[in-house]
Amino acid sequence: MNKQKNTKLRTGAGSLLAAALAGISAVATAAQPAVQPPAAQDAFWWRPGSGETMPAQMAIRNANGALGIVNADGAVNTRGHPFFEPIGANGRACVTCHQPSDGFSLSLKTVTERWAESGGKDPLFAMVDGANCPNLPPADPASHSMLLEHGLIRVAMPWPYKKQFDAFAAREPEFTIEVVKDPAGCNLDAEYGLKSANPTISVYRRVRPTTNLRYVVDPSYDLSGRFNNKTGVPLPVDPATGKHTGLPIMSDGRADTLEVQMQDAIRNHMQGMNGELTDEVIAQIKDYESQVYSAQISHNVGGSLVETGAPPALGPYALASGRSIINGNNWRSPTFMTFEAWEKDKPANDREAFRASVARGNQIFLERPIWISEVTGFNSIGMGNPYKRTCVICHSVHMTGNDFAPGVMDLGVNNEPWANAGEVLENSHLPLFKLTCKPEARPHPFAGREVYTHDPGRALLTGLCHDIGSLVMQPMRGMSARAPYFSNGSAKDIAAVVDYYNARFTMELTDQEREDLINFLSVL
Amino acid sequence: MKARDLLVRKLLPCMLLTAMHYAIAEDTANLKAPASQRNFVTCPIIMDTEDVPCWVAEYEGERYYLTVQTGRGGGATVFPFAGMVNHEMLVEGTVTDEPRICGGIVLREAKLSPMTDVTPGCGKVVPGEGYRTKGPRPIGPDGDPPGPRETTAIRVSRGPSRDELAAAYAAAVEKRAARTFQVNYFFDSNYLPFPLEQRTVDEAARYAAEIDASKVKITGYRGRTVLSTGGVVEEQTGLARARAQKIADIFAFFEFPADRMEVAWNEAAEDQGGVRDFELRRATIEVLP
Repeated sequence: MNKQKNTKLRTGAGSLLAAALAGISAVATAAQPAVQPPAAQDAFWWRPGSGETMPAQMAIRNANGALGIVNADGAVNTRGHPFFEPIGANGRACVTCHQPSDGFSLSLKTVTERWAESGGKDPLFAMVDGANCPNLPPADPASHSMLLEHGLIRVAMPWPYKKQFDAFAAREPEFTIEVVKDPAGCNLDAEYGLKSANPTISVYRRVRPTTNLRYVVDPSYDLSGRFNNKTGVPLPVDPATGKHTGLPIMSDGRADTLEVQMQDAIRNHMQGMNGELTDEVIAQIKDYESQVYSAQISHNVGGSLVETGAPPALGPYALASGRSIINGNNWRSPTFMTFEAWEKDKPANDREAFRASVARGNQIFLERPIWISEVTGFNSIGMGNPYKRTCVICHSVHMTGNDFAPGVMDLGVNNEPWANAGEVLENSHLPLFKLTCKPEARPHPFAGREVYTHDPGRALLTGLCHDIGSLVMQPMRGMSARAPYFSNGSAKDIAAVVDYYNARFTMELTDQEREDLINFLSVL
Repeated sequence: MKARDLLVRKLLPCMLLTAMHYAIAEDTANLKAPASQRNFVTCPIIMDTEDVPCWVAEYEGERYYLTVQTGRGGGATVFPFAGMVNHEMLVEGTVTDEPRICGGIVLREAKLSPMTDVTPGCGKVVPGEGYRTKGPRPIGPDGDPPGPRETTAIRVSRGPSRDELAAAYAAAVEKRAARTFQVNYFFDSNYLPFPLEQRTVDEAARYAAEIDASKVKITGYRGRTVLSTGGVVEEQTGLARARAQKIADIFAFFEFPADRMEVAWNEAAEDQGGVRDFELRRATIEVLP
């Protein structure tokens, strides 16, 4: 990622915007830039190959208000651009699954609308991963229930893993895998399942946003030199730069770099490419993804999130001009800076009341002590279990709120007993696996030797019991545009995210505190 | 029921040892840690004190203070080993006559190692009984608002400054001196504890590369701890080799030539008679010019 991008803002269509953003870059978004935001338009499907020009800035409505998008390098001519053209052999483009209206992820709302509009024929529903299993009847909505009902894409992982994914993978897997329940039918399928000629585990995951990536893929401040402090082994190295990377990309961190992620997407989601994935194509996509920022820009009740005097971290302009590689678990540079401007004891109207609620939500995020417990990669690395701190200790990347320390963690959204908010895993629409750690292996630090999980996560790459269920944390921006949440889509809305944490870490939120957190997350 | 009674009555049943990954050696029953030491396996207790949580343990009806929750926000700048609820915990410490903290006899330099296997119900959070750990930073983001980094509850080792360390490193490189690095572990674990031991291995690898070392000798060991109750707990066989091999793998990852590495291990479990036995749970890295 090129940090100079920030200051190398092009002139032309986005010249005024560029000038405004460049003017505040030196002060690291201490205040909102004086930029006139665009009028909001209705959410829309960005059709691959449409050839439309993407403006330097956009505002697109969602249920809570509007998402703002900033192309820091100016307007983008998408004609012939490999992010927007259907370069996949199955007719897909990158934009198929990384829709601007959805914060460059893919919302369930968009999926269902697309099915209705295309009669299920859109390449989004390609059988390779847009169906529960490739050999189901394509026209039957039931064949696509994971995507249509939960916004989940099938990710097919060879088992046993291929060692090249992780230099410190176990020489032999430390566990065996048994399919306990397979509602989607693919894991027990004779052709595509675990006992097929090419043994494969199918897990179902949400699409991660391809925006604000400067904050996500910039080399993390490494707390321990070149090491992944969660596993105690060195971090992977980007062969192009020779720098260590922090496993920030894809749910299980299997792509060390954006280049690897692109190759994975071409191979597995686009079923090959019309043409060749050249260095030039990769560079074009990377350049685009590295300069596009998005965040909620207005709220139905809270009004403009980017007006003069608004909290300085809100909106896409702050992201476009902010500095990355800053630890937000710190009073000097808290993750989302300050919401002091919105604090108000006696709000005069609904707008002020909402804004005060958001400010309280940020205060809970920063200051409310909770007992963080049984999180692999956190409580298991010598800090103690449980550990009394606040949300920000993990949601610590300045401006985006993903984890500043590299590596994966297991919050518990996939593993028993924490998955599905304590509901019986067997009642879930997700597959259920039983992983049994071999006697000579160290068990999962909290689930033990027999782990029931919907998604083994990183363990499918490393074969380590320790890694079962562990995944890469997601950034927190643009949430209002891209429900559902968590890697397996188990939180259907922002309230469900808050409720999960409330139960998981016994936060004992009052109704008001719960609402404050929901409001806070809805404006990020 | 008073909180302290709660500790004893509710937690003692869970102290019954379950299936263990580590071993209790049968032929060492006559060994016993000296009276100055408290080495025992127990369930962790975390007191939810008014500021930063306080880790204590019960042994023979007496409460021992182990540490406060660590991490910068907790008032400390280091991460001594810490236990995990739902795991038994090996405590190794030296008895002091310092004023009690959190109602417990102070064990200084207590090393806490969570045992490998999950033991459901072992350990819990209990009320703080009005104790404070004497005003370290509040729970929350690191840094300001300020509070003392060091309190009576935790002492931060004042080692060489960062500049001094850098100068010493540069001097060693200049002389191409032979250096030996020691790596310490949790009991029965091959995880390189964050952050100190990871830094040690990192520095060793950097140093070997920088002086173009002619040889790096990596030796893994496994340890055992003489208990205050008598007998020992012993790390699993094979751990000495695994420790050495993992460090060798790390050196290989950093592209140190395999033909210049000498990897050895000593699977004979070692102790120091119950005094700082944790020092022998180690691996050594000798970097030769």
